[in-house]
Amino acid sequence: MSGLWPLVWRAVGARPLRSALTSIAVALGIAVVLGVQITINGLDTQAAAAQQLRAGASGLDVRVDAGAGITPAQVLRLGGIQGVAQAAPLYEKRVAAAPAGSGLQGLTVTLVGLQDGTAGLRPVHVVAGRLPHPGSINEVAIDQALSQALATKRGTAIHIGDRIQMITASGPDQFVVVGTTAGTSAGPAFTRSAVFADNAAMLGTFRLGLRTPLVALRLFPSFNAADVAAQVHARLGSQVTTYDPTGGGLAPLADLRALLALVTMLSVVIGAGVTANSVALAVLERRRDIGLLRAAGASATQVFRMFAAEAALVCAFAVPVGVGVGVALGYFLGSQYSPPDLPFGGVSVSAWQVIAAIAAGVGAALLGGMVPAFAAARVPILDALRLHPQQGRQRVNTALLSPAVLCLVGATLCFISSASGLVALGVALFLLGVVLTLPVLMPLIGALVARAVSRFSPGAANAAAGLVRSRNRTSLTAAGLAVTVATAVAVGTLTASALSASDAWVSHLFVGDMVLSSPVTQRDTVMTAVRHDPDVISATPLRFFSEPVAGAVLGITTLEPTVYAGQGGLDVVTPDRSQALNSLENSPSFVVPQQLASASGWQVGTQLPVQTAKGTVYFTVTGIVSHSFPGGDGSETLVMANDLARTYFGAAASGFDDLVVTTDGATGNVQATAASYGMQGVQVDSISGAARDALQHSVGLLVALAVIAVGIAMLALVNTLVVNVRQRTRELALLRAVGMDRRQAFRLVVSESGLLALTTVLLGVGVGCVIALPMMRASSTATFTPVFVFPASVAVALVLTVVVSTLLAVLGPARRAANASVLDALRHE
Amino acid sequence: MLVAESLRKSFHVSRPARQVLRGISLTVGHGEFVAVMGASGSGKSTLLHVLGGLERPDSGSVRIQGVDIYSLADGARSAFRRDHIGFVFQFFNLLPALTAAENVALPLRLRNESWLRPRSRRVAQSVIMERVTTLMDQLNLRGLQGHGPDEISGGEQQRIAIARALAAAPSLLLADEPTGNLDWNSGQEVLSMLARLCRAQAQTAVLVTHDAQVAAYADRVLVIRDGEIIDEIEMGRRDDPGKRPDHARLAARLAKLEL
Ligand SMILES: Nc1ncnc2c1ncn2[C@@H]1O[C@H](COP(=O)(O)OP(=O)(O)O)[C@@H](O)[C@H]1O
Ligand SMILES: [Mg+2]
Repeated sequence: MSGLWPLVWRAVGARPLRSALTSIAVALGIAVVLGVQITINGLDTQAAAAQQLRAGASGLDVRVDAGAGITPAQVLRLGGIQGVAQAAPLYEKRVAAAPAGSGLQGLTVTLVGLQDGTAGLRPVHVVAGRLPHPGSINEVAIDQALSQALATKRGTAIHIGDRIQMITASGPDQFVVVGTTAGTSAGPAFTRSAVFADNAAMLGTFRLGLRTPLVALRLFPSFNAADVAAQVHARLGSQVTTYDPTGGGLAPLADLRALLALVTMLSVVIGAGVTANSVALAVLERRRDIGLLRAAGASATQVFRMFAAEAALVCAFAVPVGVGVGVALGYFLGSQYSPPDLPFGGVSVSAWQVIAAIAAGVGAALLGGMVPAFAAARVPILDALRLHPQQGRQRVNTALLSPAVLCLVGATLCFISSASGLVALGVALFLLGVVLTLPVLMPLIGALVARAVSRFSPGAANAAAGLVRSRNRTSLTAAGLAVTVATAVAVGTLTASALSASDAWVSHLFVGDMVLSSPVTQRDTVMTAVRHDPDVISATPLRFFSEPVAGAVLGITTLEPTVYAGQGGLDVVTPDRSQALNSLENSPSFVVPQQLASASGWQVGTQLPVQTAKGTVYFTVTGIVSHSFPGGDGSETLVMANDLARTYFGAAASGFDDLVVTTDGATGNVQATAASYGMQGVQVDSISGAARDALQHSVGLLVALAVIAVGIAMLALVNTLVVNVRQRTRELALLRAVGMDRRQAFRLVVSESGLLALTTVLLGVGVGCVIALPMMRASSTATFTPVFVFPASVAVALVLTVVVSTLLAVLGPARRAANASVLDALRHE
Repeated sequence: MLVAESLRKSFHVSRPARQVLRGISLTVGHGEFVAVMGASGSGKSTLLHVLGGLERPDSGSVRIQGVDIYSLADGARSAFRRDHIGFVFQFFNLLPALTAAENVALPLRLRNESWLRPRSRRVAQSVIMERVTTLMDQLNLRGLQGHGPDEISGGEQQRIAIARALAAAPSLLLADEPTGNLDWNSGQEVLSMLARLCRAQAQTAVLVTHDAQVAAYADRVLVIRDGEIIDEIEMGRRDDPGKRPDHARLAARLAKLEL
């Protein structure tokens, strides 16, 4: 490079803005790859930590939900299994509790046993005070929400040092509260809120009616959960279920990873496009240089190397910036999108990931730059030497049309399937097809847009003619922006649709305007009291519990079917709402969520064996709903009638956990009534608001990345338009020589650039809506079944941003081109 | 030195195809300074491009120092051009990103650039510098070394272009209307310098022009019309290098050709 290196170096320096913009584009490509990597690393680490926290020291949970659960003999046998270091039974009992001295009119609470300060090997989070001492038989710790609920009769909350009264079979029934706890996130065996006592008390005073629903097994490090689970089933039979609490952790953003990969790839490809565009512009501007070099004896290879080196130089600048911005982006996105209850673990990234990000960004950019560099090397010398390459009306390259049609047909075929991999391929093919047909589409849409805006901007028709004249160049310029805008709109559509789906879900779940939720199962008398509140028009109870159904422990929600049938609750898919809900009343039956039904192969009419207090009973599936109530572990619950639940599950199904209330609009009184029973009143609106927030939170990552991609593409557009305008100096001079004034000349170039930007972004919006449909279908899951909603705000923001920033970018060059002295401009060449 | 035989070239832009060179043959001896004269559009530039290996003729051959340049592959022809041919064009001869000295040094630098060339056969930087200084001195360009093309007058630019064309000591210098873009005075200055240099160094050169004043500096003038050589005028300067260009004699001869 000794000979041409100064040329390379100075060429980059002579166009500082373009070099900088290109470098930024490549840097952003690197940054997005790295940032996404860091974000995912961070969220994964965090999810693993959270999972670890939930699992505690338990390597395998063994559960029996029916009856008294696991017998002491079985616990012993579990302890004897090879690989098991410790078998910790979890003792549980439902008892009536009340503040000391208030008689026995208390609440039914769940009492959970502690062994060495852990429940089922899980740590219990202490908010204040401490846990009961090991061996203590008269101390308890109490969930903070429950302490509110228990306080009611005396009007003040239960404090540390206060006494509560619980019914026991023998011995003392007064207990000292020594601490308050929070968030018993200890997995499926736990109720929402509990009273904790040491196992000494559990096995002593509370011995009668004690259940052991779970035994947590601590495993020796060299044994894996699956092998031990097999042993457990071999020894205890199929009555027990086993569950690996450390495994099966949900990968954060799992649903979004395919889309994330797509958007990330897009950023890299667009970065490459910007580089290709920038090198192509350099080739265009320096055609004459190429001719001179070749005439002086430079080989085609030398010319190629010169332009390739320019691309490489620009990439070299991009690397440190890209890595820096990538780390910052990763940190920002990671902390932005990590769940609020866990702090983001900080930036962790391996050297290989950094190298891979650089390789992806720089590699793609270099490849992009090679194409025009190669073309430059192939320019016939005399063509290059000619001062004004003929710029006739450009024709549509028909060779591109058949691959374009192939791409579009292929995309359609892919869209018919709903496998996410195929749909992603289809989206890529569709975008490619659109890019290839741009030389046809751009002038068409440009003319339409021009006609639409001609009232405000009289020059639009002329500008549209310009688009036709240079259709190929225009298309090249527009391609990146159209594709990224399309992606951003598609992502926006997904978001908007998901949000409306979640709103619909929440409003179907709660047939009222307010939900009173209780930390502990309340007795029916409380419901009666709430119903008597003058502001309450109606109230219907919900009760959540879990039972073994068809061999697995499933969450069940009970409700009043007539209320839900009457008020349009639940989104029944088959057969119809009233039929499905009304038959719930008549015989043992469930309405099941679609996701569970399709996963288990259940249909309306399927009989499911259920362990009940009356032995095994076959329940019928009477209906399938698109969504039911969230089960707490990511799945959705079965739904049944509350009277029948009491018949078959007895005390386990009595009372209620939530009360869905329709008020007359004044909620203050209702809130107070609820609070007096330790319940919390939440507006249904704010529930859907919370659901919205959660969704927006995760999809926001995609939107952020799509916006970055649009930004990268804008860099290419600005680069090209600035060169276009500059190159038209001579044409403008000619026009002015025959009488056009400066103002008209200025307006001509500006309106051409504006029209190009507007056409491109509108095309992108249209294409985005089209690709959003199959993407929506592919990404719909149990909790995410969107219906098309046009993301108006995203679209408007994109159109405005793109058009305004384009106009701002060309304003300066346009003014200079329009104001150049006619004679200078003509003499110049 | 340069032997061209029955060169034909037509361009198929319009119908019927436009024949620009219709069987031109010419021979230029070593150290000879030949001018090709003709009206605008007569095919002079095309002829020059064909002679310099920039444009393949439809038929006919070009031999420079015995090498048939169109039998070479593209890469080899580039290398041949680099080592044996210097070009001067009418305008925009200089690479705007390079200084005057760098422009002059370009052909030598290009030689060094080849990956295949062993280090030992590279032209040393000091040799390049020396060559550049000598050439720029000879063309009266002292002091312009560090200036960029846009800070230099048109006449100076053309002299730099000539220096660059001569830098690699080419066998053949080809100039296409080198003074066409200059005012009369600078044109004369450039031409006299070019002519003097060619004579002093026995540089073979072919110069193309539509201007009889310019052609008069040559040893021999070929007159071309519609792609054919229609006359050949010996200016008799080879034997007498100090002789002033005989404008009157050439003009008289051309008048007979109604040029
Ligand atoms: N690449 C080309 N394509 C088509 N026509 C050409 C091309 N180059 C030259 N011509 C035509 O050939 C004729 C001779 O051109 P040229 O050799 O440039 O003439 P001169 O240099 O004598 O003015 C002109 O009419 C020109 O239009
Ligand atoms: Mg010419």
